[in-house]
Amino acid sequence: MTNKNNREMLIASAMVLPALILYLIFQIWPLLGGFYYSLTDWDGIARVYNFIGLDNYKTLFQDENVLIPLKNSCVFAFFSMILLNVLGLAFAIGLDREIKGKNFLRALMFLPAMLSPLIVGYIFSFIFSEPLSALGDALNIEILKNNLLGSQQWSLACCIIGVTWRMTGWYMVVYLAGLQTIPSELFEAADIDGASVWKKFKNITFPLIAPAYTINMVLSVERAFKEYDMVFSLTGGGPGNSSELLALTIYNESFANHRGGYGSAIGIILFTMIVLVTFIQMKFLREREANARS
Amino acid sequence: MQDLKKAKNYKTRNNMIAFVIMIIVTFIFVYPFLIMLFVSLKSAREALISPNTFPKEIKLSNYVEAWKIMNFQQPFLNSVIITALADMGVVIFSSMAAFILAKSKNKKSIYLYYFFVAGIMIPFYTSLVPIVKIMTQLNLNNSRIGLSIAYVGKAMPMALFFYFGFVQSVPNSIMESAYIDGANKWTIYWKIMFPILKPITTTIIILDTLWFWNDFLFPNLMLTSRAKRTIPLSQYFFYGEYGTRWELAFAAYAIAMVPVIILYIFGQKNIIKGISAGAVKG
Repeated sequence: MTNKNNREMLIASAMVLPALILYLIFQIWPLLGGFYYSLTDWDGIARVYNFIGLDNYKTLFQDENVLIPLKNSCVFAFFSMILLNVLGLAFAIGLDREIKGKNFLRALMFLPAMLSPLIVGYIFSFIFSEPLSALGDALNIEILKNNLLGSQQWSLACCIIGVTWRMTGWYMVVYLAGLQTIPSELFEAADIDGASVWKKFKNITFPLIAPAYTINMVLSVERAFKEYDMVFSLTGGGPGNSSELLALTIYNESFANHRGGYGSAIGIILFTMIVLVTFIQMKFLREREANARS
Repeated sequence: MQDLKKAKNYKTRNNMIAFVIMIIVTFIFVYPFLIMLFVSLKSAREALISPNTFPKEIKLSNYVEAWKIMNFQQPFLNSVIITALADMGVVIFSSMAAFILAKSKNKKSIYLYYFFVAGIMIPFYTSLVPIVKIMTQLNLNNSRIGLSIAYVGKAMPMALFFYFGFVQSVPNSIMESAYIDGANKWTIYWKIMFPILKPITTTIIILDTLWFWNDFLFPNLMLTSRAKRTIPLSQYFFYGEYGTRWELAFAAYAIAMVPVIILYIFGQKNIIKGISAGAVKG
């Protein structure tokens, strides 16, 4: 019996180990490495480096080249969260009705989410620079005439528009799944009571899609902080660093500027921010869910 | 009766407004695809002068040229190899581990599960420098298989999280008779559990395929030789060399999108279902 138990134990371990080893090597070890290098002045290549304690962290909180991207990342996260959730929910409600071609529309709106963000960035860089400025000329709209991507004021907004185009369908799909869990009797009862559209939304739809809302709010912020590919191909962070997000800064510092230690420190800051924001959001949104249920 | 009629009118009017909005929205979503198609079919001169219009003469030769420059079959094959290997690795290793952890009689195994799931929060950019160093030390840099192995490790927390929840909801009674017959854990996992997990496996494959297939930064750091480039990488280099020749660049983007669009047309139901299931679980 013990022999068989031992054998079972062995099989169980053998089934967990590959997952554990791969996880340790490619997630945990690099994370620890990131912490470690953030305390050094390593350039990313050389064999030797010095321990400089928390110097990197002290520097980065006074470094314009980090603080501006930090601000950009927050702005980007905030507005993409609002746009993706408002539009995602609006389209979900719109396409939950019995209208012609709703399946086609749903499919069409989700399609951009399948595309490579890099290519979406390239396409939008064309749209902003050529057709839109042609439109600006035709309609005599001053801001559109010049390439929006070349303007310090508008470049980040362009990135937000790009990500909204690419991802709205994704959030819509999640909201649609949430809407489909609402029993239609609830709306029928509300109709009989003569409830207005807004009342129905406020008292039935919104509380009952709370789980979808929670996940979408959390994911949209988290993804915004992790955004790299599309912004890289759309603006490259420019002009200047007006649309540079923290992920781009980490890459630039780590590889282009050969400041591996410094880049790692910024990485740790990004990690801390994501963890903090996620926890805060989860706390508030879960509470809201609980309130909605009671 | 009057009220009912009024309500009905009100409903159709609302539907009309919704319909008009939807037409506008459709245009916004179609426009980038349309402009890509238009420009990719134009001559170099026309693409530059009037990018917004329907092409005067259709030049399919742009596609041939873009394909030749990219040598598209090569990056396509590379992307298929990397995505397929990584998907297989993720599905097998994470479902195995999740099965053991979720059905373990040892209470402490839940801590190991928490340890795995904590990894969901780790952004790729936190460990940019260390991951490059580790990959080089392990001789996994500039290797398609190496990249797939790293993806398996990176995707492990999310996949394990999905599988764990699903395995927990499977009643033990399903496995008990097999245990009595003397089957070991591996047999039970492979013969009984793995087939039951199919819906969640679909979700994981969809989410991870989108990630691995479209990822740009990690392959860009890892795959230095031309012959190993993935589709996004080939687009990046194409843009670097021919970015000013819009008609060629857009033909290249269109070619790069075809596999995804074909996948989407055939798997649309499963993809949408998979995304919603994933989100609701998460």
